[in-house]
Amino acid sequence: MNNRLRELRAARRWSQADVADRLDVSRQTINAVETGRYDPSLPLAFKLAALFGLPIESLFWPDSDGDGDGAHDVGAAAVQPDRAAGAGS
Amino acid sequence: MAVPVSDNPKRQSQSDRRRARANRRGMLPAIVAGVADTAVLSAVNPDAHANAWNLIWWLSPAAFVLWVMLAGAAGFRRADEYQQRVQLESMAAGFLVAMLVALVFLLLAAAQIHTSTAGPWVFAGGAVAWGGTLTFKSLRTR
Repeated sequence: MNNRLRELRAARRWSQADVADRLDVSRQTINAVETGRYDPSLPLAFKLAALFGLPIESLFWPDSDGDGDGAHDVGAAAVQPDRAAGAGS
Repeated sequence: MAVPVSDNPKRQSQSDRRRARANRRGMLPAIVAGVADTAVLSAVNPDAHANAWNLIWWLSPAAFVLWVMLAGAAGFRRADEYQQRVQLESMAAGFLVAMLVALVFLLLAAAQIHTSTAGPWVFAGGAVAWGGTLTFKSLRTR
C-alpha cells in the first residue's frame, strides 16, 4: 500500500508528532505508516483522510504491481484518477 | 482541542507521553514492592519447612510478577494499533525462540545427554528474543 502522508504533512509543515497528536496515536505509528512499514486499520486510515480533508483513496492506493492479486490491480486502476484529482486540489 | 505545531520533529506525541505516564504508574509500584519483598526475603531467609506462612512468603515474589504482568497487559491495551502489533510480533519471536530452546533440550534429553539448566535457558532465550525484536522494531520507526 502506498500513501501521500509525508507529502501532505510536509505541505502543512506538521511534524509526525503533530499528526500523531491530532489522531491520538503514537509518533511511531505515523512514522511506520509514512515509511510503508505498516498499513493502518480502516478506522485510522479514515481518520487520516479526514484530517487532511481528502477522500481515503486520495491518501492511500495499492502498489502498482499489486500483490499478484487481480482485485488490487482493478482497485489501483479505479483509484488513480481520484488520486490525481486529490493532488490537484 | 487546539494542537500546537512543534519545531522538534522527533518529540513524542501527547498520547505517547500519556501512555508512558500511565505505564509507569502501573508498573513502578509492582516492581518496587517486588524488589523490596525479594530483598527482605533474601535477608531473613525463613525456613520454608517450618510453617505454611514461610512457604507462602517464599512464593510471594510470584504474586509481584503477576502484578507486573497485569500492569503489562494494561499497557498493551493502552498502546495504539501499531504498537500492539509490534508487541505481538515481539512476543511471537520470543515464544518461537523459547520453544526452539526447549526443543533442543528435549532432543538432548532424548539422546541421553542430561542437562539440569533447561528452564533458565528457555526463559533467557525467549526474553532476549522478545526484548531484542521489540527494540529492533522500535528503533526502525524512531
